[in-house]
Amino acid sequence: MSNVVVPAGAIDIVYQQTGKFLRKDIESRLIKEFEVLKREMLSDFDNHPVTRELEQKTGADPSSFVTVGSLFGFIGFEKNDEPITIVREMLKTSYIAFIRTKGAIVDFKVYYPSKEELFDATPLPYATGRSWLKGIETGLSGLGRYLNVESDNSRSGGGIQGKGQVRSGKFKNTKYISEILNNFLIKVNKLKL
Amino acid sequence: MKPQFQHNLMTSFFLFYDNYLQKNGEAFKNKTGIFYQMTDDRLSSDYSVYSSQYKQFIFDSGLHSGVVNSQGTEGPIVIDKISGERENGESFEIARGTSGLTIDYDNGRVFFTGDDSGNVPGDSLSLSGQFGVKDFNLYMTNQTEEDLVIEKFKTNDRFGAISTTGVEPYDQVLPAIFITSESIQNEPFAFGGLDITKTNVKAVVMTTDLYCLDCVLSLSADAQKRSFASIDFEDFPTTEFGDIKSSTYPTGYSYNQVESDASDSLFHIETVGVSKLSDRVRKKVNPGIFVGFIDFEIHKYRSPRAE
Repeated sequence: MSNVVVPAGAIDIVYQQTGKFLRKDIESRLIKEFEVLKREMLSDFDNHPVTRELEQKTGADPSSFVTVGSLFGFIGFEKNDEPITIVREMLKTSYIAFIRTKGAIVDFKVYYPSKEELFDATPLPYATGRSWLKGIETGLSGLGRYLNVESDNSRSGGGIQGKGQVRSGKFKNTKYISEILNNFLIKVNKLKL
Repeated sequence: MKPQFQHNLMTSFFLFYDNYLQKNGEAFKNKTGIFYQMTDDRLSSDYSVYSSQYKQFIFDSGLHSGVVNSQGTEGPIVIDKISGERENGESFEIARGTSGLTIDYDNGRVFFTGDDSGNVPGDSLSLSGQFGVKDFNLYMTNQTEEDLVIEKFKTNDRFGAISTTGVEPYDQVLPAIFITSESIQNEPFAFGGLDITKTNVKAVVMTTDLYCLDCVLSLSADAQKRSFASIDFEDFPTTEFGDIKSSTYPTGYSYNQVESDASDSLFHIETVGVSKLSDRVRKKVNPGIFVGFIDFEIHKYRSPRAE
């Protein structure tokens, strides 16, 4: 029986076109897998105690993070503020996209909001150059409570004043968005088909 | 306990930042002023204590650039002598280090035991001197931001209605910048135990002058990505009396010199964030005082387990 000889040029052509054919098959599966991870990330975010306290607003009194009042009031948010919404909406914008094929390699890229972008979008009510989201992890002063004293028993309910003295309370910082993003990235890096 | 990394970092940052503001922002005023007799229970009764209207005096003699600045001088004057007149009209001069003359740069005052002939000068002397005053006093503190902003500090205006008495010693006065290290974290960086030590240093700027606040915030923001020399805790230039350590700096303290001597070990300012306290809070807790916040993230590559 004679040997079959495949010209090297033909192998190269096949190799170069592999990605094109692979993409059709893997793109939809990869997007599906990514959406599962994204849902998990959003679930981590929604179920985090900080998120839950901030969504409960003044209802979260006593707080797990401040010794007096609610975290919402401690930061100095107004009653109608929805601080969590912007963070959730930004996280929801995460997606995976096809970039290119090179030989048998198919490149995809994951887009997600960086910590810095999230920090820029979450200014503290009393010092807009600072981020409350970052402050949750690095520490917050209690100045936010002074925003809401002297008004309808505190508009956000967390800074009620008695005889000119604002209720004192210390903040306990905790891992929050960094941990959620890190966990998400670890899972994304392990994405396999 | 012996000084640790954090002590060296805060010493280095304090001296860098003090010099940075004065050099790049010309954050000083040269004054010719009177010294008023004061009492101080903390000092020996052998000392005659005279205090100026201002504090803190500049003690960095390396700020003379040879170039005339916008204030018409080459740099801040570092006071090293005082002139005086006795009740009988006889004039005299005392240089720092003679007749027990100690210059308390931190508290803007002088104290001494006698004149240049060794004679006890007596009370009610008319004393004056030339000195550079910082536009912003610089303090290391352990107070929280909240406590600082709420506390009613005395102000020590550099112009306008100046007090005609000596400034009280030891009190912290405005305009001032309070710095504190908030958190410190070691993160692995390379094989062999090399870490990045990340330290968050916070500064609270308090002043009656919005223009000056903007100057400090702008200058501080520009400090991002700068490096500064590591200076040992023991090499902090002033003593417990606020005078320059003559044994460590026999020819006077110059940050430029210290920096060039220590240029092989550097800290790096990775990020700087600046912000102002909103008017709503400011007016409620401390009207008349403008407040700014500066967040520095300082990096240092080091091997903490090998030190």
